[in-house]
Amino acid sequence: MRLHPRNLLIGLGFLTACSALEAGHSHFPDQDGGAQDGGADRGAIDTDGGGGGVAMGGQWALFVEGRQCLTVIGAVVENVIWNWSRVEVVEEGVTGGGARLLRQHVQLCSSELSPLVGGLLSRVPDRVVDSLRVEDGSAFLVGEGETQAYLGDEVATLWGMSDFDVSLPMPVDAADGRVIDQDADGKPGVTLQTTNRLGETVCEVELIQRTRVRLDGRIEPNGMGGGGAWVQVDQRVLDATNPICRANSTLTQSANPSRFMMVRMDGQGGAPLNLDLDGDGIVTCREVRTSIPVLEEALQIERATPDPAACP
Amino acid sequence: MGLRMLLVILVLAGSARANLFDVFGAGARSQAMVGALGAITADPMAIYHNPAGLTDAPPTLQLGLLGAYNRGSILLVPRPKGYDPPDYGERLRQRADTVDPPGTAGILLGFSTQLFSEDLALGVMLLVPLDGFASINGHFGDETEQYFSNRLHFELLGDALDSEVISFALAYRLRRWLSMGIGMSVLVGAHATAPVYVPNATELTDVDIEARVQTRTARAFTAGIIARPAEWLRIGVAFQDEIALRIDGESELQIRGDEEAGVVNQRLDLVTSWSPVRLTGSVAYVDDESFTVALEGTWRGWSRYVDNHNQPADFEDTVEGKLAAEWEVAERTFARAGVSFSPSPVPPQTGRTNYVDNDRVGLGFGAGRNLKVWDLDLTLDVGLQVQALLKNEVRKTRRSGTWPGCDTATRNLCDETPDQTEDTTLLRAADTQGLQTGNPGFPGYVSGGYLVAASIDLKWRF
Repeated sequence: MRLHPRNLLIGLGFLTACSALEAGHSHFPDQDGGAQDGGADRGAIDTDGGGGGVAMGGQWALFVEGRQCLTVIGAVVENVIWNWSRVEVVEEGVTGGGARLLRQHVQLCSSELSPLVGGLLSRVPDRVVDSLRVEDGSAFLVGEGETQAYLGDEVATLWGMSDFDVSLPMPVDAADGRVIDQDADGKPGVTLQTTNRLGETVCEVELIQRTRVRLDGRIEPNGMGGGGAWVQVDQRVLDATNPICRANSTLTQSANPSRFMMVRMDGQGGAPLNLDLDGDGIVTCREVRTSIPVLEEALQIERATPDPAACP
Repeated sequence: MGLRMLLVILVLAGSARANLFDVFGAGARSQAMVGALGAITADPMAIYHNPAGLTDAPPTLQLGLLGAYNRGSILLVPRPKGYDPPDYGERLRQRADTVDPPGTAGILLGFSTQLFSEDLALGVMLLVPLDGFASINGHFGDETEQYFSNRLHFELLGDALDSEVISFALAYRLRRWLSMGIGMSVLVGAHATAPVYVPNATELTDVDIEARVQTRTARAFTAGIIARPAEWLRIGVAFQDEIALRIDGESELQIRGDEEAGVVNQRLDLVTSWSPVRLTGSVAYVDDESFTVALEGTWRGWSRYVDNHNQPADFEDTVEGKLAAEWEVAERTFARAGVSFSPSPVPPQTGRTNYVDNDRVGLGFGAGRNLKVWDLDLTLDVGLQVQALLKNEVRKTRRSGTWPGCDTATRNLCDETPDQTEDTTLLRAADTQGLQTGNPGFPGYVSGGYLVAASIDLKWRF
């Protein structure tokens, strides 16, 4: 008998429900008598990283809202991408110019998109994001005050492609040797689902994608930060189960700016959040996904609504 | 005479409360098929699933026993240090997990008969909890609960299942292939006024209490149709309006009999057993009565939900799905099975409230056998259903900036002790800084587990 994904889901549901529950740990830090409302962390910031100011070394949640114009079969819409990543930050010391150098390991945990043309919605399964590589990058903290400028190098994430110079053109079909079966489903590239307004699956799309992100913002002493983002997505459809989903799209910059927000989430060094729900010292992508409502409320994120006027 | 009786019955009729039927289905056959009977119901339990099905029911007397075993748990995340409000350690009850809340059991009675012709049918059903009638188990959904049970409660399961059902309906076959049914559901509530005289304000055990209670009813309309466009096809649609049990009133408190000082009025407004409007659509394939498969979807209007204290809870409407089959495994013997998914209407409880609920996946199994005993046509049905409460982790939101106070409009986790800048005789200023809350759901909780329900029914077709 073939194991259908739905049977597996139901079975896992029962196993999950019947497994022993554990309450987990508090993500609120202990509070002493002298703490201010919501600001207990200010006096607890770990400054071992050198250079003074925020202790960056630890685990952070990164939210990137990318806005682009999507043109497909003659129609144009603004397409908004909401990505949540976990970022492990290691402080490498202070550069000659006084900036603090950060090494970063960025792992995408969740990716959501606003509706495409005709109300179609592309869904990124967790198994796809879990199959992506952890990308390495670096960033700098600059400034003398408590709030410091944060400048990130470009981080490129390849979906369904082996490592190659990101300045080169994308592969054009599945025969290109750089295309791999990233999500191990027996099909080249990665497989996303496209649904209609009712949530019914319209097609499955095999594609490759390159996402490039640069961040430029500020980090506050309360373990939170944010600013502007440059987001460039290049995508090529390899195949689809329905002809309506086979058309390739063109993605260009929207007139609306992209942005990012980040928060330290490991409960250490004055972190305002501790999302290490199982207390093993590592905030996994699963824990990030579980805590997205908590993160969005903590960062007071209001997701942007696609703006047709931004894509004339 | 018969019609007058019927009108009287309809006026007094029926019920639709959050109860065992809403979660598991009505009767052993329904439990085995996860309640997916909207198009194929054909016994007195049609009153619950789709009253139009009464036209397919021969005159029947049904007696059943059912019980639900609750293995749901709510585990509280340990409180971090420094968040206790003053006197937190002196609560009547200490903050505690909710583990294995009590189950419930009841006796089921059903009756259906034909009136005047084979096309007109009447049905009556009754579920009586063994723990007694009209149980009310209220709780607060926010930090106020620290002064009462100081634990969390399943909002829509647990105690909420322990309620009775009384239902009536009338059905008529309009065409050979089309039937319709209607009913009216009624719950009994009350308005209570309690004058209280306190001769000595320092001696509260010596008071005189009077009571004036007026009972009143809440009514909800139920309706359904079943179409049989082909021998092998059944299509059913059923509707049930929103209904709730409400008890409100006030106590008029006179202290020392000093009428010059006026009367202190204390308001009471309790709502329990709130059942949303629901619309069910069912389609079934029936192969010569030896094999049946049914697919059913139910929309429930949870967005109008109010909690035990009549406060809007911002729930979301849901759509649940069910798939079930029944097949003949031997002469006069049937096996049944089904699977269901019921999403929770409760949004993430990251703020002040702690409405505990879980998505549920249900599996049902059962069997039925037609018997001939002393020339009596009998059917014995058994059903077993397991519902997994999919694990739900809740973490309260940590915020930067000032915490809001606990006024009525606040939806966020709130500070029960306003910050003081100077020490007072009762409180050190340092103990008031930051967040102080005794909310039992702070800083988070995990819920999950499973429910098991079993039923046995005996039906006599006379």
